[in-house]
Amino acid sequence: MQVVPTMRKRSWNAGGKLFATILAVAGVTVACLYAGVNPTTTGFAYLITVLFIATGWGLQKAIVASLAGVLCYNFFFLPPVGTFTIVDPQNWVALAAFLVTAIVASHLSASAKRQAMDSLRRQLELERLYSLGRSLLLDSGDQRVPVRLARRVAEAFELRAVALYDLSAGQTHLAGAEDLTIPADILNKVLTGEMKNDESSDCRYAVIRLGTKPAGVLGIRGVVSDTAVDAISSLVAIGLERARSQEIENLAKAARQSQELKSTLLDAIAHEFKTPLTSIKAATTTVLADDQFTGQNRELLSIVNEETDRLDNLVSDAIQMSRIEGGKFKLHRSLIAPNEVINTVVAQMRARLEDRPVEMNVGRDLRGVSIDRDLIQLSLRQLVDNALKHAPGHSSIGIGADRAGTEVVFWVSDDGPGISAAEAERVFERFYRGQVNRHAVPGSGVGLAVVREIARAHGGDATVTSEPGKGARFVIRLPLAKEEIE
Amino acid sequence: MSSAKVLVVDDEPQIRRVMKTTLTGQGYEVHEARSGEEALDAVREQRFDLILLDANMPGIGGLDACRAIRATSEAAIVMLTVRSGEEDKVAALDAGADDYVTKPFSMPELLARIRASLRRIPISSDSALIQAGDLEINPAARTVKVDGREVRLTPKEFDLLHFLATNPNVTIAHTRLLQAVWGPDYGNEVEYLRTFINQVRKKIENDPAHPKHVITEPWVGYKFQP
Repeated sequence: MQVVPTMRKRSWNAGGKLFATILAVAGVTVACLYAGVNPTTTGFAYLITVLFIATGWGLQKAIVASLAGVLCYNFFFLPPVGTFTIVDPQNWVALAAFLVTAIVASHLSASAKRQAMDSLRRQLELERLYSLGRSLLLDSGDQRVPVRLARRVAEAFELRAVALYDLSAGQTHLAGAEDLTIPADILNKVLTGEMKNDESSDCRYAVIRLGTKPAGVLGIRGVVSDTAVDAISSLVAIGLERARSQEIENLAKAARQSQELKSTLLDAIAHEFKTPLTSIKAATTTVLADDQFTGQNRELLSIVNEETDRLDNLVSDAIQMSRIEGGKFKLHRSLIAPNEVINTVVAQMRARLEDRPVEMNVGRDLRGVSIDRDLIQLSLRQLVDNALKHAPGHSSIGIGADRAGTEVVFWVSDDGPGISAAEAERVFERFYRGQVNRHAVPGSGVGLAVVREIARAHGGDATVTSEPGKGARFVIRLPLAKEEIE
Repeated sequence: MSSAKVLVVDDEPQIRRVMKTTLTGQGYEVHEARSGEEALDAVREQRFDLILLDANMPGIGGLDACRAIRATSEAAIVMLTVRSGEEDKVAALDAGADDYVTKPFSMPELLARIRASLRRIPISSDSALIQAGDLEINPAARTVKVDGREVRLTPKEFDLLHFLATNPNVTIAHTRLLQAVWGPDYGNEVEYLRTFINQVRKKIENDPAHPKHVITEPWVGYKFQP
């Protein structure tokens, strides 16, 4: 352990203290000579001086003082006075006793002082760690947390320099008066545990760990114990962890809010579209109801009418999808015959399907099931739309429903290029577009995500089975209610 | 050609324009209002046979306007709205609307709804007064009294109650009831019946939660018990 008294002001340098020590011994000598006290009293006076010096300035100075004291004692007080020789063997014993006492007492006093300093220093470090921990826990938490962490560590421990390397961001945050850049090779050595102290740059390092994973490196230049360095790095780890989880939460919140905003916006826009559509539809159907329009005019008006319906369906689907994406939708289940659902979807898609062969296939013993009719029809329209976009011109499209165990399944199949196994799960992700033809096929990548969301709201799921080159089959599985199963 | 008086309430001028043109062409006398507030003023000043009410308007919305109109007027009300959710339909009917059309609609469909809403079951002048306990139904005057106190029913509510009461103790299926009161184009709108029967019960039953006269036959229909 590196021991450094940090409390005392360094107003005296080592040379000054040495000089003061000599001066003190000389002073005692002069005083005793002048007062003409006997050698025993003088010996005690030297001893007291040595003890004071040991208490104040440590063992080193005390030993210097004892040696100086012995010399002066011998020279000035022990007969023959004025020489370094001692005649009386009794005085040898006295001198030796003085020297041993001075040194032992100095040693005891210095180590007591050292221990007092030590515990004082520990107490101070603890107080600093406590205030550091407190300030970290009270931190509001944002992207600038690592910067503040470094600064707080530097301030709390009065360090010359602090460097906090954030592993995930790859950034180093500096604080303190001096500049401390951690070279890359040292960083690696620290992270692998090869290095803790770097004597050449007077630095100590600690790895910051979240759990067992390293999250960064803390570099410190300044006066602080190893224990404190470990404790600081733990506190910094907690601070980083807190900042990170806060950041994740904020991101999720922002994503949620932007999703909601988008849905609300789309909803509002879609409603705006409905008004002119209403006028067009009302006007067109009024004219169409009049029998005087025949032939070409009637055909052209019919196109306007049908396209109005198509636009209306697109807008309605956009409203529905934005609600489902925004997560604010409720199921309105009612008892519906699956073949009715399939027939409606095919009828709604008739204009888009043109003369493509459509194979409808509904299980014969399939009775009514309790589902949200509008949402399941929306899902099937999305799947048919998807098939129309990906399957070649005149290939057939299959659509059907059947019972499978405790579930009712709806499916849409096509003879398109199919989907690779790797993409089979990803196509249901929001905004994911197929690798092969993402630029050739129009779309937003939302449709299949919505289909899955609707299926899951029913307690089921949407999946796809496909062999590349042999088409794809999208399946919506919905669990039947208990009474529907028997 | 009918000459019923129709009030078109919509904040969108183009929609009022196309409605006015078409409905006038069909022989209706068309008046316009640009908001729920204007509609309430118009209803206070004159009597309308039918009100076409947009559900989404600034100011007091369609539903509140519907409730306010229903409190003072027996005109048939058809709500026009862009929403088509089940709960929106029920909300419109609960507010007192007789029918509900989703925008955009085809004109023949709207005209059919208008005819159905204006439709009254023809009642021969000699049809007798129906007396059923505390209830008295007078077909000639189209009035209903409970314990001698007159209660106000909308025309559709009256037709519904009258039709049930002329076939006492017989369960009448949903489809038949709908077609009799609303017309042959109807048959699947069970939620209409549920809402209208509730309204009738509130007006004629002492304890609407435990009705004595209008009885529900689950999954089948309704029955009148004298």
